[in-house]
Amino acid sequence: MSMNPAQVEFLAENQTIQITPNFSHDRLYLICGEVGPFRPGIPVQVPLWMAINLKQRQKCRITAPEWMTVETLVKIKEDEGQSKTFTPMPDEHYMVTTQLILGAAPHDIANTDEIRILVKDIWDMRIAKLRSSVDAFLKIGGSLAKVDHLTLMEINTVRPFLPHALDQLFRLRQEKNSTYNQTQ
Amino acid sequence: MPKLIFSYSPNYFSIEDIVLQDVRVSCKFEVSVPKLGMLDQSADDQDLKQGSKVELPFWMVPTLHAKKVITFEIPRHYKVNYRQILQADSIVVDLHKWGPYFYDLGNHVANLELKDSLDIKKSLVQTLLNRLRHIMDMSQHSTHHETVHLIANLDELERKLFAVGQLSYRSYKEWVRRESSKINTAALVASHRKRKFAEVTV
Repeated sequence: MSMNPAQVEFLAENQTIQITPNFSHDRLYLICGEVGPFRPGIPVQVPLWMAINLKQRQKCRITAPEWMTVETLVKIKEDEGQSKTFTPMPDEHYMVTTQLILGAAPHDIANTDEIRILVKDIWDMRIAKLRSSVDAFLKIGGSLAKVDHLTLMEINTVRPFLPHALDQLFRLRQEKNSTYNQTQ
Repeated sequence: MPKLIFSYSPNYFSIEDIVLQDVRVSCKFEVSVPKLGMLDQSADDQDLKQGSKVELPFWMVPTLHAKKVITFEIPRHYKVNYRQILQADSIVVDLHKWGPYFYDLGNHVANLELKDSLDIKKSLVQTLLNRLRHIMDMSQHSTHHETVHLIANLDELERKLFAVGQLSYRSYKEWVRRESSKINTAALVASHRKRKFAEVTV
Protein backbone atom coordinates (compact mmCIF):
# COMPACT_ATOMS: atom_id res chain seq x y z
CA MET A 1 0.00 0.00 0.00
CA SER A 2 1.02 3.58 -0.12
CA MET A 3 2.54 5.66 2.56
CA ASN A 4 1.07 8.92 3.66
CA PRO A 5 3.13 12.09 3.26
CA ALA A 6 3.88 12.24 6.97
CA GLN A 7 5.59 8.86 6.75
CA VAL A 8 7.64 10.01 3.78
CA GLU A 9 8.59 13.05 5.83
CA PHE A 10 9.70 10.78 8.64
CA LEU A 11 12.07 8.94 6.31
CA ALA A 12 13.40 12.18 4.94
CA GLU A 13 14.13 13.55 8.38
CA ASN A 14 17.02 11.17 8.72
CA GLN A 15 19.17 13.07 6.25
CA THR A 16 21.97 15.07 7.73
CA ILE A 17 22.25 18.81 7.53
CA GLN A 18 24.72 21.35 8.82
CA ILE A 19 23.87 23.54 11.78
CA THR A 20 25.75 26.03 13.91
CA PRO A 21 24.80 25.48 17.54
CA ASN A 22 24.89 28.20 20.18
CA PHE A 23 25.29 25.84 23.12
CA SER A 24 27.78 23.36 24.36
CA HIS A 25 27.14 19.65 24.72
CA ASP A 26 29.05 16.39 24.59
CA ARG A 27 28.77 13.86 21.84
CA LEU A 28 25.34 12.19 21.62
CA TYR A 29 25.04 8.49 20.92
CA LEU A 30 21.86 7.80 18.95
CA ILE A 31 20.56 4.72 17.17
CA CYS A 32 21.16 6.42 13.83
CA GLY A 33 24.74 7.29 14.74
CA GLU A 34 26.86 9.62 16.78
CA VAL A 35 26.17 13.32 16.75
CA GLY A 36 28.30 16.14 18.03
CA PRO A 37 30.07 17.27 20.10
CA PHE A 38 28.35 20.64 20.06
CA ARG A 39 30.43 23.76 20.56
CA PRO A 40 29.00 27.27 20.13
CA GLY A 41 29.80 28.66 16.70
CA ILE A 42 31.33 25.45 15.34
CA PRO A 43 29.31 23.93 12.45
CA VAL A 44 28.24 20.32 12.96
CA GLN A 45 26.29 17.74 10.93
CA VAL A 46 23.06 16.50 12.51
CA PRO A 47 19.94 14.70 11.29
CA LEU A 48 17.26 16.97 9.91
CA TRP A 49 14.79 16.18 12.67
CA MET A 50 17.29 17.25 15.28
CA ALA A 51 18.10 20.43 13.41
CA ILE A 52 14.41 21.34 13.26
CA ASN A 53 13.94 20.58 16.92
CA LEU A 54 16.98 22.60 18.00
CA LYS A 55 15.91 25.46 15.77
CA GLN A 56 12.47 25.52 17.30
CA ARG A 57 14.10 25.88 20.70
CA GLN A 58 16.42 28.54 19.22
CA LYS A 59 19.53 26.55 19.96
CA CYS A 60 21.09 26.71 16.51
CA ARG A 61 21.24 28.27 13.09
CA ILE A 62 20.58 26.02 10.10
CA THR A 63 22.90 26.24 7.11
CA ALA A 64 20.92 25.80 3.91
CA PRO A 65 21.90 22.79 1.79
CA GLU A 66 24.13 23.74 -1.13
CA TRP A 67 21.37 23.39 -3.68
CA MET A 68 18.95 25.62 -1.84
CA THR A 69 19.89 28.81 -3.62
CA VAL A 70 17.99 30.73 -6.25
CA GLU A 71 20.68 30.21 -8.92
CA THR A 72 20.85 26.44 -8.54
CA LEU A 73 17.10 26.07 -8.46
CA VAL A 74 16.63 28.24 -11.55
CA LYS A 75 19.15 26.02 -13.33
CA ILE A 76 17.33 22.86 -12.20
CA LYS A 77 14.03 24.30 -13.29
CA GLU A 78 15.40 25.09 -16.75
CA ASP A 79 16.87 21.61 -17.12
CA GLU A 80 13.62 20.05 -16.02
CA GLY A 81 11.69 22.12 -18.53
CA GLN A 82 13.94 21.20 -21.42
CA SER A 83 14.28 17.51 -20.69
CA LYS A 84 11.58 15.08 -21.69
CA THR A 85 12.54 12.66 -18.97
CA PHE A 86 13.02 13.32 -15.30
CA THR A 87 16.24 15.04 -14.35
CA PRO A 88 18.13 14.01 -11.22
CA MET A 89 17.30 16.07 -8.17
CA PRO A 90 20.03 17.32 -5.84
CA ASP A 91 18.26 15.82 -2.87
CA GLU A 92 16.20 12.67 -2.75
CA HIS A 93 13.66 14.42 -0.57
CA TYR A 94 13.93 17.93 -1.94
CA MET A 95 10.28 18.68 -1.30
CA VAL A 96 10.34 17.60 2.35
CA THR A 97 13.65 19.29 3.06
CA THR A 98 12.44 22.58 1.61
CA GLN A 99 9.15 22.35 3.40
CA LEU A 100 10.73 21.62 6.77
CA ILE A 101 13.62 24.07 6.63
CA LEU A 102 11.62 26.94 5.25
CA GLY A 103 8.92 26.27 7.79
CA ALA A 104 11.21 26.16 10.81
CA ALA A 105 14.00 28.52 9.87
CA PRO A 106 12.82 31.10 7.33
CA HIS A 107 15.32 33.66 8.64
CA ASP A 108 18.38 31.43 8.19
CA ILE A 109 17.83 31.16 4.45
CA ALA A 110 18.23 33.90 1.88
CA ASN A 111 15.37 34.56 -0.56
CA THR A 112 12.87 32.28 1.18
CA ASP A 113 9.92 33.22 -0.97
CA GLU A 114 11.73 32.80 -4.26
CA ILE A 115 13.05 29.42 -3.20
CA ARG A 116 9.61 28.33 -2.13
CA ILE A 117 8.14 29.31 -5.48
CA LEU A 118 10.95 27.70 -7.48
CA VAL A 119 10.67 24.42 -5.63
CA LYS A 120 6.91 24.46 -6.10
CA ASP A 121 7.40 25.12 -9.83
CA ILE A 122 9.83 22.24 -10.16
CA TRP A 123 7.45 19.98 -8.26
CA ASP A 124 4.51 20.97 -10.48
CA MET A 125 6.48 20.38 -13.65
CA ARG A 126 7.59 16.96 -12.50
CA ILE A 127 4.12 15.94 -11.37
CA ALA A 128 2.66 16.99 -14.73
CA LYS A 129 5.36 14.96 -16.44
CA LEU A 130 4.66 12.02 -14.19
CA ARG A 131 0.95 12.10 -15.01
CA SER A 132 1.43 12.25 -18.74
CA SER A 133 3.96 9.44 -18.59
CA VAL A 134 1.55 7.35 -16.51
CA ASP A 135 -1.09 8.00 -19.13
CA ALA A 136 1.24 7.09 -22.00
CA PHE A 137 2.31 3.98 -20.14
CA LEU A 138 -1.29 2.86 -19.72
CA LYS A 139 -2.25 3.69 -23.31
CA ILE A 140 0.45 1.55 -24.86
CA GLY A 141 -0.67 -1.24 -22.57
CA GLY A 142 2.70 -1.42 -20.94
CA SER A 143 3.35 -3.65 -18.01
CA LEU A 144 6.86 -2.55 -17.19
CA ALA A 145 8.24 0.95 -16.91
CA LYS A 146 11.58 2.21 -15.82
CA VAL A 147 11.59 5.67 -14.33
CA ASP A 148 14.76 7.21 -13.03
CA HIS A 149 15.23 10.08 -10.63
CA LEU A 150 11.73 10.16 -9.22
CA THR A 151 11.65 11.06 -5.56
CA LEU A 152 9.67 9.15 -2.98
CA MET A 153 7.13 11.91 -2.43
CA GLU A 154 6.46 12.12 -6.15
CA ILE A 155 5.95 8.40 -6.52
CA ASN A 156 3.63 8.58 -3.59
CA THR A 157 1.24 10.93 -5.40
CA VAL A 158 0.28 8.30 -7.98
CA ARG A 159 -0.14 5.67 -5.34
CA PRO A 160 -2.42 3.92 -4.66
CA PHE A 161 -4.35 5.07 -7.74
CA LEU A 162 -2.03 3.58 -10.32
CA PRO A 163 -1.59 0.13 -8.73
CA HIS A 164 -5.34 -0.14 -8.23
CA ALA A 165 -6.07 0.91 -11.78
CA LEU A 166 -3.58 -1.64 -13.08
CA ASP A 167 -5.15 -4.30 -10.87
CA GLN A 168 -8.54 -3.63 -12.37
CA LEU A 169 -7.22 -3.65 -15.91
CA PHE A 170 -5.52 -6.93 -15.23
CA ARG A 171 -8.73 -8.35 -13.87
CA LEU A 172 -10.70 -7.29 -16.94
CA ARG A 173 -8.03 -8.64 -19.25
CA GLN A 174 -7.91 -12.08 -17.72
CA GLU A 175 -9.10 -14.68 -20.17
CA LYS A 176 -11.68 -16.36 -18.04
CA ASN A 177 -12.09 -16.56 -14.34
CA SER A 178 -13.25 -19.53 -12.45
CA THR A 179 -16.56 -18.20 -11.08
CA TYR A 180 -18.70 -20.56 -13.04
CA ASN A 181 -16.49 -23.56 -12.70
CA GLN A 182 -17.05 -23.30 -9.00
CA THR A 183 -20.80 -23.11 -9.20
CA GLN A 184 -21.34 -25.85 -11.72
CA MET B 1 -5.20 4.76 4.13
CA PRO B 2 -8.29 2.61 3.77
CA LYS B 3 -8.01 -0.58 1.84
CA LEU B 4 -10.02 -1.01 -1.28
CA ILE B 5 -12.25 -3.99 -1.44
CA PHE B 6 -13.36 -4.46 -4.98
CA SER B 7 -15.66 -7.15 -6.10
CA TYR B 8 -12.72 -9.15 -7.24
CA SER B 9 -14.61 -11.89 -8.95
CA PRO B 10 -14.56 -14.75 -8.37
CA ASN B 11 -15.57 -13.80 -4.91
CA TYR B 12 -18.47 -15.75 -3.52
CA PHE B 13 -19.06 -13.37 -0.64
CA SER B 14 -18.90 -10.09 -2.51
CA ILE B 15 -22.23 -8.33 -1.96
CA GLU B 16 -21.59 -6.14 -4.95
CA ASP B 17 -21.05 -9.14 -7.12
CA ILE B 18 -24.43 -10.47 -6.04
CA VAL B 19 -26.19 -7.15 -6.51
CA LEU B 20 -24.79 -6.44 -9.93
CA GLN B 21 -25.94 -9.79 -11.26
CA ASP B 22 -29.50 -9.02 -10.38
CA VAL B 23 -30.42 -7.51 -13.74
CA ARG B 24 -33.11 -8.87 -15.99
CA VAL B 25 -32.10 -10.61 -19.15
CA SER B 26 -34.59 -11.75 -21.72
CA CYS B 27 -34.14 -15.46 -22.35
CA LYS B 28 -35.71 -18.01 -24.62
CA PHE B 29 -36.14 -21.56 -23.40
CA GLU B 30 -34.80 -24.09 -25.85
CA VAL B 31 -36.35 -27.07 -24.12
CA SER B 32 -39.69 -27.40 -22.41
CA VAL B 33 -39.60 -27.56 -18.66
CA PRO B 34 -42.32 -29.38 -16.74
CA LYS B 35 -44.07 -27.61 -13.85
CA LEU B 36 -42.45 -24.24 -14.48
CA GLY B 37 -45.33 -22.65 -16.36
CA MET B 38 -45.67 -20.00 -13.67
CA LEU B 39 -42.52 -18.30 -14.98
CA ASP B 40 -44.31 -17.32 -18.16
CA GLN B 41 -47.26 -15.25 -17.04
CA SER B 42 -48.85 -15.06 -20.46
CA ALA B 43 -49.30 -18.82 -20.66
CA ASP B 44 -51.83 -20.84 -18.70
CA ASP B 45 -50.06 -24.11 -19.05
CA GLN B 46 -48.50 -25.92 -16.11
CA ASP B 47 -45.40 -26.68 -18.11
CA LEU B 48 -43.04 -24.16 -19.64
CA LYS B 49 -43.07 -24.73 -23.39
CA GLN B 50 -40.06 -24.76 -25.62
CA GLY B 51 -39.57 -21.38 -27.21
CA SER B 52 -41.25 -19.32 -24.48
CA LYS B 53 -39.62 -16.00 -23.71
CA VAL B 54 -39.01 -15.22 -20.08
CA GLU B 55 -37.05 -12.58 -18.25
CA LEU B 56 -34.59 -14.11 -15.85
CA PRO B 57 -32.09 -12.54 -13.46
CA PHE B 58 -28.58 -12.59 -14.83
CA TRP B 59 -27.18 -14.89 -12.17
CA MET B 60 -29.27 -17.75 -13.52
CA VAL B 61 -28.04 -17.31 -17.06
CA PRO B 62 -24.52 -18.80 -16.90
CA THR B 63 -25.67 -22.15 -15.56
CA LEU B 64 -28.71 -22.48 -17.82
CA HIS B 65 -26.76 -21.28 -20.80
CA ALA B 66 -23.97 -23.76 -20.19
CA LYS B 67 -26.51 -26.59 -20.04
CA LYS B 68 -28.06 -25.33 -23.30
CA VAL B 69 -31.44 -24.83 -21.65
CA ILE B 70 -31.77 -21.23 -22.77
CA THR B 71 -30.52 -18.78 -25.30
CA PHE B 72 -30.45 -15.18 -24.20
CA GLU B 73 -30.02 -11.68 -25.44
CA ILE B 74 -26.97 -9.92 -24.05
CA PRO B 75 -27.79 -6.76 -22.07
CA ARG B 76 -28.06 -4.00 -24.63
CA HIS B 77 -25.19 -1.88 -23.38
CA TYR B 78 -22.74 -4.54 -24.40
CA LYS B 79 -24.06 -4.87 -27.93
CA VAL B 80 -22.07 -3.83 -30.93
CA ASN B 81 -23.70 -0.42 -31.47
CA TYR B 82 -23.02 0.57 -27.87
CA ARG B 83 -19.47 -0.67 -28.22
CA GLN B 84 -19.12 1.65 -31.17
CA ILE B 85 -20.24 4.57 -29.06
CA LEU B 86 -17.54 3.72 -26.54
CA GLN B 87 -15.02 3.44 -29.30
CA ALA B 88 -15.93 6.85 -30.68
CA ASP B 89 -15.56 8.74 -27.43
CA SER B 90 -15.69 6.90 -24.16
CA ILE B 91 -15.03 9.90 -21.94
CA VAL B 92 -18.37 11.63 -22.47
CA VAL B 93 -20.45 8.50 -21.94
CA ASP B 94 -22.50 8.35 -18.76
CA LEU B 95 -21.38 4.90 -17.68
CA HIS B 96 -23.31 5.10 -14.45
CA LYS B 97 -26.49 5.26 -16.46
CA TRP B 98 -25.39 2.35 -18.57
CA GLY B 99 -25.25 0.25 -15.49
CA PRO B 100 -23.77 1.20 -12.16
CA TYR B 101 -21.49 -1.81 -12.41
CA PHE B 102 -20.72 -1.57 -16.09
CA TYR B 103 -17.32 -3.25 -16.05
CA ASP B 104 -18.12 -6.05 -13.66
CA LEU B 105 -21.34 -7.06 -15.35
CA GLY B 106 -19.59 -6.78 -18.70
CA ASN B 107 -16.91 -9.07 -17.43
CA HIS B 108 -19.52 -11.63 -16.45
CA VAL B 109 -21.18 -11.36 -19.84
CA ALA B 110 -17.88 -11.74 -21.65
CA ASN B 111 -17.08 -14.85 -19.64
CA LEU B 112 -20.07 -16.68 -21.11
CA GLU B 113 -18.10 -17.73 -24.18
CA LEU B 114 -20.27 -16.01 -26.71
CA LYS B 115 -19.08 -15.15 -30.15
CA ASP B 116 -18.81 -11.52 -29.05
CA SER B 117 -16.91 -12.33 -25.87
CA LEU B 118 -13.52 -11.26 -27.08
CA ASP B 119 -14.82 -7.99 -28.50
CA ILE B 120 -16.71 -7.16 -25.33
CA LYS B 121 -13.62 -7.81 -23.29
CA LYS B 122 -11.47 -5.66 -25.53
CA SER B 123 -14.01 -2.88 -25.43
CA LEU B 124 -14.16 -2.95 -21.61
CA VAL B 125 -10.39 -2.76 -21.25
CA GLN B 126 -10.10 -0.02 -23.86
CA THR B 127 -12.87 2.01 -22.27
CA LEU B 128 -11.27 1.90 -18.85
CA LEU B 129 -7.89 2.76 -20.34
CA ASN B 130 -9.30 5.77 -22.15
CA ARG B 131 -11.14 7.05 -19.13
CA LEU B 132 -8.37 6.54 -16.58
CA ARG B 133 -6.44 9.69 -17.41
CA HIS B 134 -9.55 11.77 -17.01
CA ILE B 135 -10.42 10.12 -13.70
CA MET B 136 -6.90 10.56 -12.41
CA ASP B 137 -6.81 14.24 -13.34
CA MET B 138 -10.22 14.92 -11.87
CA SER B 139 -9.40 13.19 -8.63
CA GLN B 140 -6.28 15.28 -8.19
CA HIS B 141 -7.75 18.62 -9.12
CA SER B 142 -11.05 18.84 -7.36
CA THR B 143 -12.15 19.93 -3.99
CA HIS B 144 -14.40 17.95 -1.74
CA HIS B 145 -17.68 19.64 -2.65
CA GLU B 146 -17.19 19.34 -6.40
CA THR B 147 -17.03 15.59 -6.11
CA VAL B 148 -20.72 14.77 -6.38
CA HIS B 149 -20.97 16.57 -9.65
CA LEU B 150 -17.77 15.08 -11.07
CA ILE B 151 -18.41 11.45 -10.34
CA ALA B 152 -21.96 11.56 -11.72
CA ASN B 153 -21.08 9.70 -14.90
CA LEU B 154 -18.57 7.27 -13.46
CA ASP B 155 -19.37 3.63 -12.95
CA GLU B 156 -18.89 2.15 -9.46
CA LEU B 157 -15.45 0.77 -10.18
CA GLU B 158 -14.31 4.12 -11.50
CA ARG B 159 -15.79 5.88 -8.51
CA LYS B 160 -13.68 3.79 -6.21
CA LEU B 161 -10.56 4.62 -8.17
CA PHE B 162 -11.57 8.27 -8.03
CA ALA B 163 -11.96 8.07 -4.27
CA VAL B 164 -8.49 6.60 -3.78
CA GLY B 165 -6.96 9.22 -6.03
CA GLN B 166 -8.67 11.96 -4.14
CA LEU B 167 -7.65 10.56 -0.80
CA SER B 168 -3.95 10.56 -1.62
CA TYR B 169 -4.25 14.04 -3.06
CA ARG B 170 -5.99 15.29 0.04
CA SER B 171 -3.40 13.79 2.35
CA TYR B 172 -0.69 15.49 0.30
CA LYS B 173 -2.48 18.83 0.54
CA GLU B 174 -2.82 18.39 4.25
CA TRP B 175 0.86 17.71 4.53
CA VAL B 176 1.72 20.83 2.55
CA ARG B 177 -0.42 22.90 4.87
CA ARG B 178 1.41 21.25 7.79
CA GLU B 179 -1.79 19.81 9.15
CA SER B 180 -0.97 16.13 9.00
CA SER B 181 1.25 16.40 12.07
CA LYS B 182 -1.58 17.76 14.17
CA ILE B 183 -3.39 15.36 16.38
CA ASN B 184 -7.05 15.15 15.46
CA THR B 185 -10.13 13.58 16.90
CA ALA B 186 -10.60 10.17 15.39
CA ALA B 187 -13.45 10.13 12.87
CA LEU B 188 -15.16 7.42 14.87
CA VAL B 189 -15.15 9.45 18.04
CA ALA B 190 -16.30 12.61 16.29
CA SER B 191 -19.26 10.90 14.67
CA HIS B 192 -20.22 9.03 17.80
CA ARG B 193 -23.48 10.43 19.05
CA LYS B 194 -23.57 11.42 22.63
CA ARG B 195 -26.04 9.58 24.72
CA LYS B 196 -29.10 11.60 25.36
CA PHE B 197 -29.67 12.96 28.82
CA ALA B 198 -32.95 11.10 29.09
CA GLU B 199 -31.30 7.77 28.36
CA VAL B 200 -28.79 8.29 31.12
CA THR B 201 -31.25 9.29 33.79
CA VAL B 202 -33.88 6.66 33.11
